[in-house]
Amino acid sequence: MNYLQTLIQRNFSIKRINKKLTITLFFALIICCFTGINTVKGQSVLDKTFSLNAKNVKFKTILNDIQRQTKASFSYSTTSFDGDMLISYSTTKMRLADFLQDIHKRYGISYKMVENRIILFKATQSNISEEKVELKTTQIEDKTIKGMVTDEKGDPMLGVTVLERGKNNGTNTNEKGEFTLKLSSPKATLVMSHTGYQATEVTVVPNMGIVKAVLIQSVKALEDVIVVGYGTVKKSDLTGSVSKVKLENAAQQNSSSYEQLLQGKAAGVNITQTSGDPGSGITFNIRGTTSLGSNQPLIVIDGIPVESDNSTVFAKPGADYFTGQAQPGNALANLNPNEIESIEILKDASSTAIFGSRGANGVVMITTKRGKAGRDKLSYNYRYDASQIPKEIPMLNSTQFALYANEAYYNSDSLLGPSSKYNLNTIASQPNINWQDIIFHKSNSQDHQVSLLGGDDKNKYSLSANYSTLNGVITNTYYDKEGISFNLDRQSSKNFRVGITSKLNFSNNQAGLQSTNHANQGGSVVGTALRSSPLGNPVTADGEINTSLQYNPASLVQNSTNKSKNTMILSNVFGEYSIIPNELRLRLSGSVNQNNSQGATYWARGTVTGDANNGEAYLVNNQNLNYSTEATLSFNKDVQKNNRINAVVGYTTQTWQSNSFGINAKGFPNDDLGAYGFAYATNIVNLPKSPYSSKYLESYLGRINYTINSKYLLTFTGRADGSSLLAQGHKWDFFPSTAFAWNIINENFLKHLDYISQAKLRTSYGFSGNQNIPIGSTTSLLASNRAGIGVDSIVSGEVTQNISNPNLKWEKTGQFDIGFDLGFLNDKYQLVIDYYQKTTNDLLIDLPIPTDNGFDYYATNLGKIQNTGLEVEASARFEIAKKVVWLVSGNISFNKNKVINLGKDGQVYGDDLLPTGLDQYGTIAKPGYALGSFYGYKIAGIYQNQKDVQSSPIDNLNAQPGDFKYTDLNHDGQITPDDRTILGNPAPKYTFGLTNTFRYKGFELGIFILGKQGQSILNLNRYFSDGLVYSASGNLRQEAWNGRWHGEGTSNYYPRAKTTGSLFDNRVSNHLIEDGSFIRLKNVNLSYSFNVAKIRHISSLKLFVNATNLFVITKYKGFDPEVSGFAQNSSTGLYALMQGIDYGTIPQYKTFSTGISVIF
Amino acid sequence: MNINKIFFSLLLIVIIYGCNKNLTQPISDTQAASSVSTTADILKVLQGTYGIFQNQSLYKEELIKLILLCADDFTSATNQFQIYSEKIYNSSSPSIENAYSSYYQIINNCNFILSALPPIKTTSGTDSTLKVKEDGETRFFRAFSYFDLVRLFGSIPIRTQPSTINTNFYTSRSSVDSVYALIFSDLAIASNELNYKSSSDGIGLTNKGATLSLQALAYLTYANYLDRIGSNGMPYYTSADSCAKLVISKGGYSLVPNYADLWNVNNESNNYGSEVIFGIRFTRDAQVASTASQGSGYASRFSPSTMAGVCGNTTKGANGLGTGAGTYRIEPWFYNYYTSGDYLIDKRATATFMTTWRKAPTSGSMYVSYPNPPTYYSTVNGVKILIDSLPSPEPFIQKYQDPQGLDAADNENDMFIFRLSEIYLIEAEAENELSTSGPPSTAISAFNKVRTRAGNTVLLPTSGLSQNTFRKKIFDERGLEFVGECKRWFDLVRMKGADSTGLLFPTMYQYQFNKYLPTLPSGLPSINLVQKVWLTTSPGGVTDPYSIIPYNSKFLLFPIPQAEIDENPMLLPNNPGW
Repeated sequence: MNYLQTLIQRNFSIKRINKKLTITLFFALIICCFTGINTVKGQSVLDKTFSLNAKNVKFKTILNDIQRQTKASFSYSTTSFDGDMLISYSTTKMRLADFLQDIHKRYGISYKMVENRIILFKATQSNISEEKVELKTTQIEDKTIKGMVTDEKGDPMLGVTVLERGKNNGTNTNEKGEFTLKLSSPKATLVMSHTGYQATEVTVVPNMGIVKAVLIQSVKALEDVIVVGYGTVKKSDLTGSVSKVKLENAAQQNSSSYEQLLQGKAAGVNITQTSGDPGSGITFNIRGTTSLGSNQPLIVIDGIPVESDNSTVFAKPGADYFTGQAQPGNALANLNPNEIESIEILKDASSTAIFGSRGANGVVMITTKRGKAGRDKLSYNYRYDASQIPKEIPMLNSTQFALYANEAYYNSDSLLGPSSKYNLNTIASQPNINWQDIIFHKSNSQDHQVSLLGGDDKNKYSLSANYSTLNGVITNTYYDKEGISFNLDRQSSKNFRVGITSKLNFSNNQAGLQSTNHANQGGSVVGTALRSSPLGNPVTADGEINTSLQYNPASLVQNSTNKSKNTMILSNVFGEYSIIPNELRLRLSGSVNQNNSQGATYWARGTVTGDANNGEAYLVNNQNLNYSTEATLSFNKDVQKNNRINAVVGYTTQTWQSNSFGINAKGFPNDDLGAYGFAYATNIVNLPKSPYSSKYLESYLGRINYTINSKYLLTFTGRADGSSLLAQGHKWDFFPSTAFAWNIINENFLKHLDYISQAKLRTSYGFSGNQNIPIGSTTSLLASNRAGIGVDSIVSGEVTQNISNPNLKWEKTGQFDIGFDLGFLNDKYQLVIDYYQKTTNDLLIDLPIPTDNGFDYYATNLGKIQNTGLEVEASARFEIAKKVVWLVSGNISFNKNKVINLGKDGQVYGDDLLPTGLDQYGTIAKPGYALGSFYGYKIAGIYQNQKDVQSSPIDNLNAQPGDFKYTDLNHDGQITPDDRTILGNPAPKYTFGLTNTFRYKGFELGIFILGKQGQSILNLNRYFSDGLVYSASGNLRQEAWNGRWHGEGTSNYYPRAKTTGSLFDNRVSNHLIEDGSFIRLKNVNLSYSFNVAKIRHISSLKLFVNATNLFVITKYKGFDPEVSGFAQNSSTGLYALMQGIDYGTIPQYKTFSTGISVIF
Repeated sequence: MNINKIFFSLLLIVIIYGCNKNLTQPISDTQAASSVSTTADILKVLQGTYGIFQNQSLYKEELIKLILLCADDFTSATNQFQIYSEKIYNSSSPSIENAYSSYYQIINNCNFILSALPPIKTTSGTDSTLKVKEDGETRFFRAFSYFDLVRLFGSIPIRTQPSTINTNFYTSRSSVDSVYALIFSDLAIASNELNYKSSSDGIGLTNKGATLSLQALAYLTYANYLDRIGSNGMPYYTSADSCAKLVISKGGYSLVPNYADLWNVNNESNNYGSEVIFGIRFTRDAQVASTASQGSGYASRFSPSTMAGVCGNTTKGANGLGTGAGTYRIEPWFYNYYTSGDYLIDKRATATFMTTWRKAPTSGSMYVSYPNPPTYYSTVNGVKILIDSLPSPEPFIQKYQDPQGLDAADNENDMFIFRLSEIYLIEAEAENELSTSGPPSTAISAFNKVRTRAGNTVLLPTSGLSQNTFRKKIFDERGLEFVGECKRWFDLVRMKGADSTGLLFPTMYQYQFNKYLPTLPSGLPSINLVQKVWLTTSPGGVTDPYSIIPYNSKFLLFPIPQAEIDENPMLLPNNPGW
């Protein structure tokens, strides 16, 4: 066994050497680029020349003169040197740069460029206190006030705007946080402000000494700008229900995708990681499931609607078997979370209706970081992770396994007399393998991030690059990704603005074979490891993988591959023209989003599939292109005092094209080339397919916000969508919404209540839609079907493929929302409450029908689903001791999902669970119950004796004591399919997230807890590990063995061991349904920010340690209660009916991370 | 013009380009059904429809699983197959659902062709001949599907129009009588439209001989059914007889002189020129492998796992050895029955049963099964070979072997649906049922033709047999003639049962399971390694105790699949006992 691990590690390290080299080169390149840019920038001003002839003039007068000639702008604080010192200086056509060098030599005055401003300071930074003393004495004669601004941690803040209120008089703080301002009147109020911080006012009089002000990071949400569809609004003017999440410290947290960072951070957003494997799929659900198909929200990145759901661009599910082998879809796994500035989640109809047919599942607006005017800021983040599996499942060791086999044989072969399988005397000399040790290992990962942001009045840019190599806890799995992104905004003239957003992401992924693909439970690494007998030998005597051991999990992890390479291009250009400055603006934009992926899967010898076929491989290429154009006209005007109109109208188009090519072969001469050895394969299993499809969407949209007296806010939104997917005559539909909000805080009767800082009542009602149906559903199609006819010849015939539905129309969701926003004590305490009711009508579904129609389903609009929910978000800020700040924010959301009706037939079933054995559905959509409820038999217990068998309802004719006894729910004296019932609900009753942040000086401690309560899981691993049918299952879970029936009264839960019969009688029963509630300590993060005031060139330095998934409190018997939320490869496309099923999911890792974050 | 204006104009062009679309059907990679407009297009659909019979859910495996293992001659110890041999299947058992829906898939495609054909304008004489022929072949396939469905499930929904959005998707079951009425009317039209076999016909699609054969068996089965429920089956026995006679006299078929030649996979196509009237074709498929291939999987299923090279040569195929899977095994009593009594000397038993085999055809160890003594073989072809594992208590079938096969589910072996020998036996049976005074001599002579071909010298006397005795003789004869050809289950539930005492049973199924099999020692033969003999009485027996379970009338019909009932409660009540 150790031999194997050595072997695995050896292979592993060879791979890594190349990678390290790549990383180094990559970063060298990036840094060169950045440095180059840095040199070029700023030269324009410094290259300007001036002439002077001054004798004994005040230094500040000279500076004023230069400023006038060169248009350069100088800042300096009197704390660093005296501007009144008299100097003499004569020169002609001197470059400003040379002048600055000269005064450095002469007077020891250095400079820095900050936001186009040349800041002068004394080069010797030695003795602040001495200077302060000096300041005090030199202040008396004028109205100059001096001060210092720090943040909560006491760090000086640079670039804080200090204004004298009501006057056109102000300055900025220097890098020590200091400022000097000449007041225009003896008594004044200074307003100090900085982006992201609450503005602070201080009343000053000259002579009061150094004014000290502390800026507090903005918790006051009202001034926040919220990104909504096709525009932005101030939080105070918002009428809809929108959650804003700032992704702070993304680099510190171990997360490979933005969804992980979002998990638990916003009410109403339910995110489930489908597996612990890095880069694996994530299901994202906002305010409950509204549709039987995909419930993935629309994702909009910097205004570009992107494909987040692979299924929308793929060919019809089931028609193309290759899609079943594609990587579970997370098209956005490549997106670098560190590039994200903020995420807005649009939840109610008022916010989503502007996205019309695509908004029913909510909209996620992602805003990435863009450059700001000011000094170029170079930052670098590094993180190192060490991960491991949180727990192992106790399975039988070889002695127990032999006992189990012998007992099973003894119990079953009574007709031929008892027999045993293993000789217990020799079992000690046999192998005793814990297969979980073979497939799992401790892994480590690294993440590098470099970014450069900056700009001036006219040009703002950001450049970032990332490289991460994430290794999975399943041996031989990894997820490497690289990305480069570039944003540029240019104000070409007063009225023109243009910009570009461009992202290029690559990933290279070797995933553990696992079964989010429900058709392939046997190919799952985790499933196979649990099922394999402890008596097998993973390696042969000479250290090679033992391919003669059938279904060897070591072969699955070592010789098999499940690779995918992905490239994502996301690019957008826009131009804006202000027709009437600040009022009427035309914006045109064009975007391209291309996702290319190649999946290569190979089952080597020693695996179930590989053994049967001498190696089997799939190779699939997918190219998904989606491009969109947008033209919007926005209007913004203050009509009267406190009355505002904000409106937008627009026209957009979007086109999707999808090409794929897939091939599947078996019979490989050896396992060396894996999925790249198709040339040598002897048999093509399925003929290559090359589906192509496209679809098109055209829309007109409009929104008007009217604010009356800053108190009453009205919003009307509408969008008309036309889609190529739907039937003639039903292609176009209109999605209107309306909202009203009352800013109670601005009413006079609240004005005097100082402690209330925010009070707003919001309500909205409107419609959004869903067009998620397969391409071609409105036409009757023929599919190819081969036939052997004649002598040794195979012809390619055709058969009918579907029932066309010329009446297909949009699925529509109507949503009512009422919410209340409250803030107290300057928003120190905030509370947001929302109640909603969402009703989806005309569900677009592939409705199963009796197969005597020749088909088992057809696409139609049918039924009604309702989601009702309550969401609460709250946050508070406490100073629990001197300088110790405690920020707490939490959210909780309740959602109740209910199928109201599904036409006259009444119910729809999920896919068959397993290809053999449990090849029946276990989930159902049934009026009165939640979508995808688990459905099956109820076990009453175990037959204790023969009398018990005879007196119980008639079931299996061969039933014996020790077998499962089922409940006869319809009391007809026998167990029939009519005795099945609803067994559980896969959707949680409520989910919550709780974030605690403690700050003390440079320290920050973050603790994040996540929980979901009340959901059930169908644990299919237990179908094998707990079934106690020796011949059918393989190894057994210790709990099942210890709890088995072995004589009257020994157990009423687990059955007897036997060799014949079926696992769990081939029935889905409540035995396999478990409570999946959990509370997870998702993240603990401790960081320390150094005081870098004295370190040159570094403006921030932070070290951190972080622990992810430290523990989870749950009753769930499997690895992890977060299981594949929706099986993404449902063959019928009924994704929402395949929630909460554990197919051998790779559990989420326990990870310890450490890293550094530097800003230069 | 400044650069920004150029840029802006470009963007504007992009937007306008975006608008320049219409919302017509998106492009897809599949063909629209509306494109079917010529007889050549119809032929494609007809071929595709025939291909469904070859699918895994029907004759390639799942249907076979049901009708082979539920009968009394085969048993299985393979997971997912046992449920049928042990009769612990239920309405959710997958093979039942798969077979049911695949037949309706064929029916819907036939309905599609039958509605698409009439509007097609033919361009020539040959074209209009082809059009008529296509109509006939389509009706044959539809009747064939309904006939299998009605025999498996009893009363079932009838669909005669292709399903569209306006179809009523939820119908109730039609009576057995109306299903047969549809079968008979389709076959009557088809036999008018089709011609007897000619050498230019491809093998696979059907002809008049096949249609008449199906008519004969369908009339016979319906007559049996009417008898059983107390109605008058006589007119249908007459029709069965006349159809059979037409096939024999005009079909152009002849019995293959050597029974064993029928099972030589390399001679398969030639058999279609002589004895085989209709079969489900399978072809080694080099393009596609395994269950999706157009090859069959019988070679692997019927052959023992200790025998290599039966479903692929030793360099290709499953595990590189082409070994069998040993899924379908012969009950020991069945072997005994057909190697004694009337069948003491019969070439069919030797051609069919396999009790001795070598690991690989040319070399390797020797294996035996019951009834061969588990002793050492001293020499085989002059080479001393040892038996190297415990012998099997059940014999195997050697009708399906394909050493050139590509893998376990990609072999050449066909499933014959009608052979001339069956038509002789149908004639004999129909005439026996028509005559209350014992079988006429024409019946006996038809029967004896089948025996004579088998080299069986025990011929029946042309007179003196009672109707009951002859009926049992026909049942027994069919049992050996068609073992492994999926006939026995339908015979068991179709034919009246009787024993020598004249006691009548409604079905042979009841007779076999209630009367005859319980008299045999229960249990598989057990081995005495010291004396190297098989013990067939306690300990040991000649029937697999798991698969020979007491008669229960519910097994006469398979249950309508639960998934169908879940979709459409109008299908309730399910068949009696389910």
